[in-house]
Amino acid sequence: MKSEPQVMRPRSRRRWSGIALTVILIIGAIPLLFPLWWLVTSAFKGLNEIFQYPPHLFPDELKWENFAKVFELQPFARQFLNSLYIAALNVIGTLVFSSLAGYAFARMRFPGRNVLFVLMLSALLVPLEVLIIPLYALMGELGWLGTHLPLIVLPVFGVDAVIGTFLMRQYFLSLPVELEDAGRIDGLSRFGIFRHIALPLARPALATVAILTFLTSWNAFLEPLVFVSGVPDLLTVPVAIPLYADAYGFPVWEVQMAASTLSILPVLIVFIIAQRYIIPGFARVGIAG
Amino acid sequence: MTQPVESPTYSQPGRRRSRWRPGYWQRDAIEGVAFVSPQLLGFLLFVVGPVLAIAWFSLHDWNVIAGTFNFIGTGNFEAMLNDKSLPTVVLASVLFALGYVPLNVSLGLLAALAVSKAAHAAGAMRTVYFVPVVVSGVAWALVWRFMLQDEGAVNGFLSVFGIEGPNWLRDSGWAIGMVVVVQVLKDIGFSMVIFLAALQGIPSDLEEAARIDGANNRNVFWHVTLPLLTPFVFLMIVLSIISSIKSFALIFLLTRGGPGYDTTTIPFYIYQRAFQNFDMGYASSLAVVLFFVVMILTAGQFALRKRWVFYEE
Repeated sequence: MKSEPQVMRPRSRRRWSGIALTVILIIGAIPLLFPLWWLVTSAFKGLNEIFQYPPHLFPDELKWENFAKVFELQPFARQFLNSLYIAALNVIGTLVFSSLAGYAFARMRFPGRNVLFVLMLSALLVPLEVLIIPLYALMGELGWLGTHLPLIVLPVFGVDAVIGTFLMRQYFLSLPVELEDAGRIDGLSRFGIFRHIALPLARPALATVAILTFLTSWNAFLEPLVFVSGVPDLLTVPVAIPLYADAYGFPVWEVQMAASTLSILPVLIVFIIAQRYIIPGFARVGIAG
Repeated sequence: MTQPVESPTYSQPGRRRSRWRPGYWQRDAIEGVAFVSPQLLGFLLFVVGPVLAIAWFSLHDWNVIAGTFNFIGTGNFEAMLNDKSLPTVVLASVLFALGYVPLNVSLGLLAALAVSKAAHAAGAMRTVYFVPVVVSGVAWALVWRFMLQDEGAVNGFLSVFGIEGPNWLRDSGWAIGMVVVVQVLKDIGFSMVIFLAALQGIPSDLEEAARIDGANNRNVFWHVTLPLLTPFVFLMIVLSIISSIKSFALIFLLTRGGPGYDTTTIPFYIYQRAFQNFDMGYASSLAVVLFFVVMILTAGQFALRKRWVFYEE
């Protein structure tokens, strides 16, 4: 008790340390946010202004023609649509199959359930870079190279699916089981209980899985690079952007930055709207390991 | 984050069986397998199968362009000993991991501690630090390459202060360090969020009790908060090691592994050998080695965790 006065610091001192911390955090955020500022502003700069000394924080005038060039030099609208529909199919597929599997792992009793679950979780330790060669060979055997099928099927059923399954299982485990018992007494089948009782309750988890899947799919680089390279109409946005280059292979920076701006806009919008699902979702995925 | 609780209703089916239709649990077993079968099939086909296949491929001389696929036993593994670029590649991977893992864990922890104490600004700061995590790796890599080139923005701003910066990504002394920095800046938000979740889980009465016993801020951090965080520090080290192996897109777009092989990490080297030199057999043998390295590092971490992870659930 005697040390009580030392514990309670004066309120003003505490407030100052809060302000000091905030200032430090703001300074620390500069290298995180400045690149994005630079990306978006460079998208509006002319070729001369891009390499101006000293650098311009704001563009002199907004060069909208950089964005026009994005669509002239490559079939960017098509590529954007590719990314969008592949991501949409990944989200739908992952929601359906991860929630089914996650529910079974949480609630249903079948032989080998826990062993299987741990085995599937261990897949998260295997880097995609290790699997890419045999996956390439497998896709070749199936005749899927140069199509979007690998980009649609692999995320829904491969390594990425494990994360969705895990998140769904954890959420189903946290739901009260009594509601499902009631459904069973009323004569619902297992699938009926899943479909009409458990799934509607799991909406927050479904939202998290949907957003994480969308981000992974939208940002995927290695898979499209390996599976659909070479055909402009088949590319997705991440593999298309680095291809804005001149005849010597040097990047056309202002166009690359304009295309990058277009590619991060949907993600930033989704993030700002749905961050209360996204950030805890990432935390749970991390703690999954 | 709710703690998953196994319901007693399901863990003791025998006691309750009379309430359900006969054969309910038998049907449940069949339906349960049916529910997981799509994922199970995918797991076998796209994870287990490839892991086994890569071991088989590694024993072959397999060149896609030449169309060869001949069994050569351990030939690929012997070839590694004569691969003159491999030592540089291994060094680059080790340097990358040695830079990335401690920076990612410690800066993430620092950011989490600062954000958790920043009172009113905490929510906004959490969002700000997390933004690079959701931005695509391609956009992040390209804008940094743009800024770090010889006449780029970084040197432009340095020149305002009369400093002449190096050609960051082409200079042998700087390149690997810059790759580490760019990757760490992208990932800090993620490790911060893990540590924030961990800090929320620490009951405040423990810290209060320490303070009542006369502990100052520093004592509380070193003797209460940090020991309670060690399971999460452990987790972040494991995750960081794995993600340090996954930084493919960044290296591909930032440096293409150059100058020379200075920033060519093993996964990037595997990609080059497989998809640029079409030497799939040799690349497979490298992938096998990488697989075992990841497994050994992870197992080693788990073996060591008993020594320093203080609090186990």
